[in-house]
Amino acid sequence: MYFRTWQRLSSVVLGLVFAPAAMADWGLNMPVGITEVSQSIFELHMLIFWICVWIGVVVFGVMFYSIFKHRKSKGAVASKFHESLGLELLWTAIPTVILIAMAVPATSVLIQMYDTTNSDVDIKITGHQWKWQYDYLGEDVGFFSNLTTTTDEIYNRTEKGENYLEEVDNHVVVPTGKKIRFLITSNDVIHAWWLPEIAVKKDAIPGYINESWALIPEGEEGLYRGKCAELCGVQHGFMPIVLEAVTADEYQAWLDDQRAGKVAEAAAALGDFSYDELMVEGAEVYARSCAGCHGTEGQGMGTIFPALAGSPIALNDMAGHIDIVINGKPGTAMQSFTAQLSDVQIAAVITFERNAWGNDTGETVTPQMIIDAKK
Amino acid sequence: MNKQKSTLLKVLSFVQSVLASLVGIQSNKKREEDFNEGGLERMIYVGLGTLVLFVIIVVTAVNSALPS
Ligand code: HEC
Ligand SMILES: [Cu+2]
Repeated sequence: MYFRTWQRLSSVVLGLVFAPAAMADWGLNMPVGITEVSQSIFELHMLIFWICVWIGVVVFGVMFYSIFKHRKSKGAVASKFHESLGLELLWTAIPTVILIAMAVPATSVLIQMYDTTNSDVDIKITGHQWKWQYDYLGEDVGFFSNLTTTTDEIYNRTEKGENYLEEVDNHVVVPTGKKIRFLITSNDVIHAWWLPEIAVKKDAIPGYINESWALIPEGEEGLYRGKCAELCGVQHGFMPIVLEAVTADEYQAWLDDQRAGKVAEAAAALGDFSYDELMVEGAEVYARSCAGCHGTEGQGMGTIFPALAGSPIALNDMAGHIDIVINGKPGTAMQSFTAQLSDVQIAAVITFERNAWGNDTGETVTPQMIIDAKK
Repeated sequence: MNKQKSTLLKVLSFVQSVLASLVGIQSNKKREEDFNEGGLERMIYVGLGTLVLFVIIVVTAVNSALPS
């Protein structure tokens, strides 16, 4: 134990002294990232870092040398003069020159970062409490991205998985070799979409659209993980980002799949579902989309998030139950789930809530009832 | 104090004082001179002129840095 702490400490110190590359392994430095922009940012950061280090070395060097060389025990006497125009000009001029020298590379990186023109793919990203929504503009594809880490993992009732709090049901899929523009906004409070590997970190502000972009080079296909970077409420830590970079061909195929999936979903809603099918589906939907606020056992959470087990709305008022899930309740965290869940899923979760945890109404809510309620 | 200074020299001296105030460095002698010789109004004009010049320089620098 002590040995490991000591070992860690010394590699931190060694890393600081010797190799910036080692720092990246230790997660002490920012990641280099996979895009040209992220690499420019990293290089700029290192350049400024070393300039600051050298300024520190020179300034403190002169200071400590002077203190030591002219110490009182050697009989040093302080000179008393008021102004020294030349020296004052010099110590104003040097920082000015250094600042301007730093501004030149900084400006060119900033200009590169802000150039969102000529994009191939436009993705609108909307922050919600507590999940991200992605809309592929002009492609008729869009979805929500929900945390898939189970509440059992969160509350230590089971072993935590490998990507604890960093896994979602729907990845935001993007093609490599294409310029992707992100239009970032929010539906409720301020969030921030942050994906370190592509050096994008932008506030998601209700009523505003912030733009950013990334071009992931071909050959860098893979999964990249990020987080919400603006404190946005109790489950701020539960709205991760998983970006999946695929080749341009795979991307096209994925778009087609998404569109086909939507059509199939609409058709499915017209089919027949048994009570058992709806209960199984409903339990899944509940765990993913509702349990975070209403509790795994429908017990609610604190004073804001009401219990559904034994609640009058789940036992009696079926129309009200359907209505609040479809339309949400404005001004509360209870949002409309119309855009997030299919008709089948909404029917399933309501059926589940009316029959789980001792809410034994025996009632089945069918997808057709949801379609009718939406009219 | 030299009251026979030519107008050009006086203007130059104002300009120097304004520039010095921009940088924040001025010799004590010159500062006292400025205060004793007055000319507050003219000093303000030179200051405003310098301000306009400064804004023009910043705008030009930004425009030349941005890609058209
Ligand atoms: C972000 C948190 C959150 C999530 C996720 C959430 N709810 Fe709610 N829900 C609330 C809040 C808050 C209220 C209380 C609104 C109010 O003040 O009346 C509520 C109220 C309700 C009510 C009415 C309860 C009552 O007694 O009046 C039902 C039914 C309900 N939610 C169902 C669901 C279902 C179904 C889901 C999942 C599809 C879900 N909720 C997901 C926050 C949430
Ligand atoms: Cu957030």
